[in-house]
Parts: sequence; structure tokens; C-alpha cells
Amino acid sequence: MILSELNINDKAVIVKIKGRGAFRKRITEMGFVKGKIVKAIKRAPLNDPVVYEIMGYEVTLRNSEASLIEVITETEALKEITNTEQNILVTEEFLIQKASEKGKIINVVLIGNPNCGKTTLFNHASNSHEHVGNYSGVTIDAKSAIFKHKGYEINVVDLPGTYSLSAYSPEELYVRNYIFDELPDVVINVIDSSNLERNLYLTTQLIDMDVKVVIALNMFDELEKKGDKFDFDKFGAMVGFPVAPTVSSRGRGIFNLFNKVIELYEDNSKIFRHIHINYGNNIEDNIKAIQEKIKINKNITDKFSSRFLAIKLLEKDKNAINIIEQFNNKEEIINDVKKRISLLESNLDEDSETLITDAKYGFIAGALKETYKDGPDKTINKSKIIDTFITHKVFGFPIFIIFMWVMFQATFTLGKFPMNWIDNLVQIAATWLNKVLIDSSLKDLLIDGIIHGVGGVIVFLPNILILFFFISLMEDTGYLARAAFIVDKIMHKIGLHGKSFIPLIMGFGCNVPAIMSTRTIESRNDRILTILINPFMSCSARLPIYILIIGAIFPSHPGNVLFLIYVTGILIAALMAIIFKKMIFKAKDIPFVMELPPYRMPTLKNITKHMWSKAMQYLKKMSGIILIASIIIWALGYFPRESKNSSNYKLEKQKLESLIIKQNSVDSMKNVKFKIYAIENKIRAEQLENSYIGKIGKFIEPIMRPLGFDWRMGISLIAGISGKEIVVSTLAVLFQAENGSDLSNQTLIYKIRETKIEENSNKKLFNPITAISYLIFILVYFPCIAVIAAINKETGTWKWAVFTVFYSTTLAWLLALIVQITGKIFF
Amino acid sequence: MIFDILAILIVIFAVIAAIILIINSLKRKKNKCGNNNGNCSCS
Repeated sequence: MILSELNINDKAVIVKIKGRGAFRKRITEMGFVKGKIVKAIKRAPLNDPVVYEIMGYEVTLRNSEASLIEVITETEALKEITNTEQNILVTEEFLIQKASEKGKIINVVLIGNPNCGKTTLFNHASNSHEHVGNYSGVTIDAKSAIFKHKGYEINVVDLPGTYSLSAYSPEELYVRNYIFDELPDVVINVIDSSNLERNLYLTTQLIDMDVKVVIALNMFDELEKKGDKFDFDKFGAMVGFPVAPTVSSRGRGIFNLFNKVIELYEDNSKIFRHIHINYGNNIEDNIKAIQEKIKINKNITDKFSSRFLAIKLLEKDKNAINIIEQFNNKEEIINDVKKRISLLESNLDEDSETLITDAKYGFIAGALKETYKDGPDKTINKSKIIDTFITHKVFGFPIFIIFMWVMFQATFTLGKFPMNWIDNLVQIAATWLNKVLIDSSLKDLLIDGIIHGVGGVIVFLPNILILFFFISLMEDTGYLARAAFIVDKIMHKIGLHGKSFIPLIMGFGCNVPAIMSTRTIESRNDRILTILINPFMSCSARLPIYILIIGAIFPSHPGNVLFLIYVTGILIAALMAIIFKKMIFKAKDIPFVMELPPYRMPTLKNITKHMWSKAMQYLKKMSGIILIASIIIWALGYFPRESKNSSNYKLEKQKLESLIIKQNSVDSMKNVKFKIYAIENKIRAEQLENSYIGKIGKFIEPIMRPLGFDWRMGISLIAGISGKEIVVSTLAVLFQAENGSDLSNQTLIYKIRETKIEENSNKKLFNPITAISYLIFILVYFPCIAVIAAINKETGTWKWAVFTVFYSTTLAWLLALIVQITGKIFF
Repeated sequence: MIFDILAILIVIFAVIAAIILIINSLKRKKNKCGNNNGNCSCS
């Protein structure tokens, strides 16, 4: 009987748990496992839910949940008593033994395409004599047979052949309903090995349904005869279903097949896991949104996977709509689905069902690409022709490098123009405010804090849009999947997946969109690992610092040193990936499918939509954080205002200002202006030293000293927390250099080169070793607030964001120290 | 003077906003699967 039929105060032993994977997992975690005694305690006023006692505590289950649990009661056990057991008392042990015996009955169904040999397999396994023929549609109804295998009673049902589980033909609907109504313990998906691609389509639907499946790779001898090679174990691990090759006409492999069935039934299969097929961002977003609405109806989702229903609704499946009819929020769901379908179709210019079918075939193509090798004599389609060049062993990589090169060239060269326009607009706004506002803290806040802070972020928008234009172009055409495929082998060596490559490459532009783009990586571990090492890819904001320091200290080989810094970043990233993989993400790699979707013409509408949403996301999330951070950093550097010498400087400045009018020549006037500017810088430098951020700088100086850094370098590093661009401007203020002209840059470089550790000392602050330590520190330490926020957003927890802050800064400090110590020993 | 007070008010506002932002992020429901829409093992 089923648990929901158990009378109050009656006891029973659990025989088996039915229902789909997620339900079984949840219910098992609650203690409802095979062989456990369960007692019905009380019913709620409307008979639903019911309180049960299991393993010493009380659990409430809805009737819909309890109906999926099969139990055996004392009365049932008594009925089953055999002659030899006549005098046995019905003890708990006896009941458990009976439950265990009953639990050894496995209900299995055979599902597969027409003419894939299901009935032959059925006949061989059960020793039956059902009619078979080499044409489709032989089986028109379910046939069942019972046989024994390794002490288990296998109740096998042969279902009519179907190409899919859509609700088009009566067979398809029959098979689908059979799975949902009868809830078989294990489904055997019989596949014709000589036509894998078409047969596996049905498998993708079984994946969506979240049922226990064993794949019977039937007619395997034909595949071998053709000279094809299929790594079915790897394939099984990828799709999460155990695979057994069979030749049912000769009975080959059938024993092994049912061994796997028993293994799976007893939850002992190491291969089985529930995976999600990735339908691409556009469809996935819709699936998730619909799923949320379906999940409200818990009674149904115990039996049906909400994901499966959502996919079927997007496919306009009539039967799925009928199921929705039972829901309280049916109208809301149906209207929402309609809207989503029309938006999806208009954006991608394709029927929603075709889009999902294409994604399924993309999944199949990806899985087969890694596991299947064609023998000679194969007909090839358009996608395969393009793939022979693009994923070619020799040409694939150079083609990919050219694509990347074009993308980054366009990102920086095309992006330069709109970037300059926005930068000019920011400057105009700052100049206008400078003229309009009277001198006050508000004016400084608006110009130095807000306009320059937020402006500094907005200027990167064109680059980001261009980058995303290329990425969505690559994504929509299907090239991105191939690019990841090409570098997969190299990435595996450092413990990552091919899909991690794209975000790492994007990190050279800006780590924020790079971290956002890790969404394409399915494995959560790989995703977090990619996010953690991404900041070591030198972003464009760090370039000005490199240029400044290298220009000052290594003027003879600037290009080589710059190149080395970038390479160092890549090496540190690879090293950290290996360490993290060994220490944190120890879990063995779960193989997963890299989808190879068919090539498709991208639509302008979808690309525009993609770019627009990225632009909004960037501006909304990042400028909010940047704005707040800019204001706070500005305030920390601005207050307190007064310092011991500030009044002297102000007097000196006033004197010089009065001199301007008296100057006769332009040159002498310039000279006085230069002096005024120098005094202003001195005031700023002293004020900054005395400010809160200055105090923090002095406070952290003991930590920075071993690295050869003084308090000014410490402050520049702290200022760089809000954005690496700020490091250079902070250095400029602190080293009292002019800013804004070529001469000023020279001066800053000169000052950096010439500044002594102490005023009376001969030792220079920036020697080559300190410069390298400083560059390494810049490369490795705290990425920036926007990146930290992006890490938090993308991982869904502050844990990894905080971890990144600490591990990167500690690593930076250690590496800089190693450079210092090694430098001192050898030079 | 009034502009200086206004600047201080804006800074206070930014600090409060930062605190709210952090609290909100900490409060946000954790979704283990995140944006993981691929071959993950979660349901």
C-alpha cells in the first residue's frame, strides 16, 4: 500500500520511495528510507497533511507526498506469510524482512525510438516471444513480463517506440503519461547505436524529466563494424546516466544492463546524477522565471519536475498546459508564458520550440564531439563543414587568436573615441562646476569625488559595450562554444575547463564584465575558481600605473618589463588555480557537456538587447557602488582640513597671487603660476598626510616597510581599492607633481625616480627592486571595489568576496616581500 | 558654510548607503545554484 492510505496509529515499513529525483532526495533526507518503520500519528482537520513518526521524531507530509511512498503493513505481511513461516510472530524484524523482500521488485520500462530493438531486448531479457519486426511501430501497447535477476524480481514493460516525449502523437503522449502515472523505478532508454544523434534527442527529454535512467546502447556491434569509436563511459558520466552497450539480438550485454538497473535502483550507481541541459541565457532566464511560478504548486512538483514543465510550456506543449490547468495560478502562468514566448521569438526570430530543439541537439553534438569518433565514409552537414576548420587541430587555435585579437583591438581602438567624448563631457561638467560654484567642501566633493569618481567609471562604458557586442555575436553564432572547445585541453592542465578561458581573456579589459561572463561556466566549482583567479589578469586600469613606474625606473626596456608583468599575472593565475584545485575545490571533476549548438545568423535585435541590458546592469550596479566608494574615499582624504603648516602655505600662496599682476613677461608669469601650483600641491600633500587616509597610511606603514614602501605608496595602494586609476592620481598628489600636461608627467616620473627614502638620505625610495615589488603588489592585491561587488553578486555570497580581499592582499604582500628579500640577496 | 555642511551630509548619506548595501547583500537569500544554469546537480 501507499503511505497516504495508512490508518492513524498503524505502523508500516517503507518498501520504496517513488517520484522524481529531487523529491526522493528531499524525502530521504527527512528520514524516509527503505526499511524504516513509520507510524501515522494524526491527521489535520481536512485529512491533509498527516503527521508521521519516523526514527523517533515527527514529520508532517502532505498526502500527495505520502502517496509516493510505498509501505507494507502488518496485515499485508500476514497475508504474505508462507507455509514455512506459519508459526512466526509478526515482529518488527519480520516486517522489515518482508519490506526488504518486497523492495526487491523493480519496475522497469523500456523507452526508445521506433525500431531501435526494444522488443528484441524485452524478449531476450524476459524470455518472452513478443512480435518483432525491422520497421517502426511494431509495439502499439505496453507489454509486460516478469523475470528474476540476481535475486531481484524485474517487472519489465515494453512501451511503444517514440522519437520524443512531446504531446504530438498518441504514442508520445502514452509513453510520457506512463512515466508520470506509473512512476517506474528505472527507465531503460534503448538507443540505436548506429544513429546516436537522433536517438539521443529522447534522452535529453528524459534528462529534463529527472527520472532514473540507464542507457542501453543497442546494436553496438553495428557501430563497431563501421569502425566508429564511442567512449560510452565518458558519455555516461557527462549526461549522468549509466550506459551499457548491448546487442539484444544475440543477448550480448543484457546481463550487464540489468546489473546497472539494480545498481541504480539501490542508489549505488556512481554515474547517475541529475544534470541540467543548458539552453542558453535567453531560454534559461525564461525557464527560471516560469519555474518560480510553477513551484508554488507543491502537490504537482513532487511528481513533475518544474524545469521539465517550464521547458514544455515554452515549447507550447498542449499536455503541459493541461497540467497547468490544475494550478491555482494557472492564468498567471499561461499569460506569462505567452508573453515570454512572443518576446523570445521576436528577439531570436525563431520559433520557441525550434530554439529548444536546437539547444538539445547542441547538447548532443557537444557530448558526442568529445566522446565519438567517426569511422570512414560519413556524410557531413553545414555545421560540420565549418567545424572542420574552426575546431581544427592546427588551424583552430590561430583562428581563435585572430578572433580574440580583432575583439580586443576593436574594444580598445573603437572604444577610444566614445571614451574620449565621455571623458571630455566629464571634464566639461567639472570645469563648469568649478566656475559656477564658490569654493567650498561641496564643490570639492562634487568635482573630485562625484564627477571624477563616477565619470571614471562611465568612460569605460563604450569599451564594455563593444566587448559585449562581440561576445553576444560569438555567443549567438555558436562560435563561443567552439572557442572554449579549442583551449579545453590547456585549461584542463591547470584544473579548469575550456569555458573558463573566455572570462580570463576578458579580464585584460576589465575584471568586472569578465567575472560577469563566468555565468557561461556550468560547474559551480570551476566558476568560483575562475572568478578567484580572474583579478590576476591585468585590467586596463592597472596599465597607467605600470607605465608610470616602468617609465621611471626601467626606461631602457619598458616594453619587455610591461610584457613580463602581464605574463607574471597569467602565471600567478595558473599557479593559484592549481593550488585552489588541490586545496579548496578538491571534488573530482564532474565531466560535463560542452554544447556545440548549430551555427546561426545572429539577429540585430537580440544583440542590441544584450548590449542594452549589459549597459544598464553596469551603470546601475557599478556606478552605485563606485559613487558611494568615491564619496567615502574622497571624505577620508579630505578631512580633517587643517594641518600645522597650512596657514603658512596659504600666506605664501596669497603673496605669489599678488605677484602675478606685477609680472611683465609671459614667462615670468608662468613661473609664478608654476610656483603657486607647487604650493597648492604642497598644501594638498600635507593635508592628505594629515587626513584620515593619511593617518591610515602612517598606520599601515610598518606593514609596508618590509616591502620597501613608504606611507605615500601605502596610501596610493589604499586609494586604489576603489579603482586602480586612482593610484596614479594619488601618487601625483603625494609626490607633489603637476598633473595634466606632458611636462607634469615627466615631473611625476622624475619625482618617482629621484625621491629619497628620507630627506637627508642618499637611498632612493624607488629602486628597481622596490619598483618590481610595488608592481607585483599592484598586480596581485585587492582588485577593486567594483570587482569585489561583482564577485559577491556572481557567487551569491560575500564569503568569496571577502576571501578574495584577504587572499589576494596576503599573496601580494608575500610576493612583494619575496621580491625584496631575493633582490637584496642577489643585487 | 552651508555648502560645507551639505558636503558633510552627503558623506554621511554615502556611509549610510554603504552600510545598507552591505546589510542587504548579507541578507540576500543564498541560492547555492546561483546563475548556474548548466549541467549542475541541483534541482
